Amino acid sequence: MSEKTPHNHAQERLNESLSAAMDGEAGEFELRRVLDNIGSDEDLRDKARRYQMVGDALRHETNEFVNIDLSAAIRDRLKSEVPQSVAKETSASSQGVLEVVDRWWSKAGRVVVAASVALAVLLGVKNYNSTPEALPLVASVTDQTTLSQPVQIAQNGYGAAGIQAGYSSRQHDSITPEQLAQAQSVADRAIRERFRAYALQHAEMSAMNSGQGILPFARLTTFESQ
Amino acid sequence: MPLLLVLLVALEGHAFPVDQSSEPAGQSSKPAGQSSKSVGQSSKSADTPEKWLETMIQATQNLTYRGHFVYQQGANLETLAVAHTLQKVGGKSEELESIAFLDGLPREMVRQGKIITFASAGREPTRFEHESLVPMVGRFTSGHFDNHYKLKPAALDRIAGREAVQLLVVPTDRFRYGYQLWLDRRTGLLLKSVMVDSEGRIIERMQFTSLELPGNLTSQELERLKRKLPASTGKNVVKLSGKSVPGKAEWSWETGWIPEGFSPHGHSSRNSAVSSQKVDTLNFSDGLASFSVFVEPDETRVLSQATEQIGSMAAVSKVFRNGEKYFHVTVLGEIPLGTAERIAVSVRPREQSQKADK
Repeated sequence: MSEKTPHNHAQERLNESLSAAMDGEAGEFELRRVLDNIGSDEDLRDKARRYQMVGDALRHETNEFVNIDLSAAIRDRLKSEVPQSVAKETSASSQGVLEVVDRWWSKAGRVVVAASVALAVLLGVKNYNSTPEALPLVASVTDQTTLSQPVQIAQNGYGAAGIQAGYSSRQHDSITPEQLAQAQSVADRAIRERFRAYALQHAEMSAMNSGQGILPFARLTTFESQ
Repeated sequence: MPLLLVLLVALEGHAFPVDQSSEPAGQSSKPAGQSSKSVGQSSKSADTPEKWLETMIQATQNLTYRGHFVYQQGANLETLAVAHTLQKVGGKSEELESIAFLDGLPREMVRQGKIITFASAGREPTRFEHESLVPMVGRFTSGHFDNHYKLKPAALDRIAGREAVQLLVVPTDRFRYGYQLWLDRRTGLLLKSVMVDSEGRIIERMQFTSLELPGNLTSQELERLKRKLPASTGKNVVKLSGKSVPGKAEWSWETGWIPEGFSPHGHSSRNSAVSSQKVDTLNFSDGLASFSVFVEPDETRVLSQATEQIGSMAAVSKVFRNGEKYFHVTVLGEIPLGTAERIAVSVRPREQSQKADK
């Protein structure tokens, strides 16, 4: 085991961190380590893509939305933001990148974004777009001001594929963060209204179909009091 | 746990007295059919947990009762009042029911047979109309309920001054919540319900604080229940159909995955309350838990996705695409958020329509 030079050891740990990050289990430190290296380490990048594809395949994810490529948008966004943060910070380390990502996300209106989402987006789900079927989605929306969101599949113990979504803009050059935030708040309101309206119908149907008697309507309390 | 088991053994034979004269009609796996016309006020007792659950449903639908109960989820506690009875209309009996929120904004649900109206101060009333009612009979004794929940009689208890039988309903997988149910020992009415997640955390709690089972409601109460409710505008009238599943070709989407044990129990297709589009709705239930899937064309071009836990209700909203068309999927239900997300993600265009598009 003379091979175990310090470099290899570090590489090994990096790979472990990557695997943890892809599983959504990386701590902040591990995530930073990965983010720190992902830009310069081609191997690591490839590995990450493979992990993600394998993971998605294992989870039978064939959803259309994993195909959305946001990496370019985010990279551009990062490019335009990084200089400021470098100027502000004494060390332009990965911490800076992470903060930029964080700031970007929070500008987009999401306060909490799972780190693994940011990572997945950085890595680029782009890989998927090499399949021809995936392309039309991007192509069909480029001429419009359409907002869409990346989807990252997180494991959450139910064997279920959870969605953690943030916002991105396809035409990020023409949309200011303020407009983006505004669009999001409109969308959020619409969703809330939708949830409320449908909750009523769900309660009604549940009252008819599940054996819980008075409970379905009692449950509407939260919706009505909002 | 060991303590509980000891308790179980000790209670065997005591907790569930069999009233020999009034055993449930359908003992075996066969649904009991339309249960006897005259379900008396002292409803039948049952001897197995499954039969207790059947009795619970029958009691909820057939008895005359009034009472107050509290409902808690998270930090919220609400007081509600319920009054329920049956009335004969042309030889058929119809449910009359009112559930009113006593705290905060006045809100009331009134059920008059096939019509349910939800009125809330300051909002248009919403009216739901059922084309047919599916009798909830044999839900627990037939079918595969016990594949997905283990039922355990737990203890005798006292709720709202009444003797209650406690049942533990433990899910066998992580796709649904667990329950502790307290049923009135005499009638089977649900007196208290606690819903817990897989970690044992309490998600919601319902509990009667007072309950009366009078022979009849007072004439004032009946008048209130039968009152003509303000008609709502057309868009809020929802026709719900009790037929189990829509015709294959009818809808352009399907659910790729739903947790085992859930089956469709009702569907509707109506104008959406939030857009000008038609929204398809499918309601699924496994006997206790239920969720609804709503699908409508998306016209906003703001593809938004959201995942929210609102009290006991998981709410997931996402978009899927079929050719050039975008569709909005909303999943709502008293199921773990992870389950709701997985269902939402699985909604996809129907196979044939997908091929036709390409």
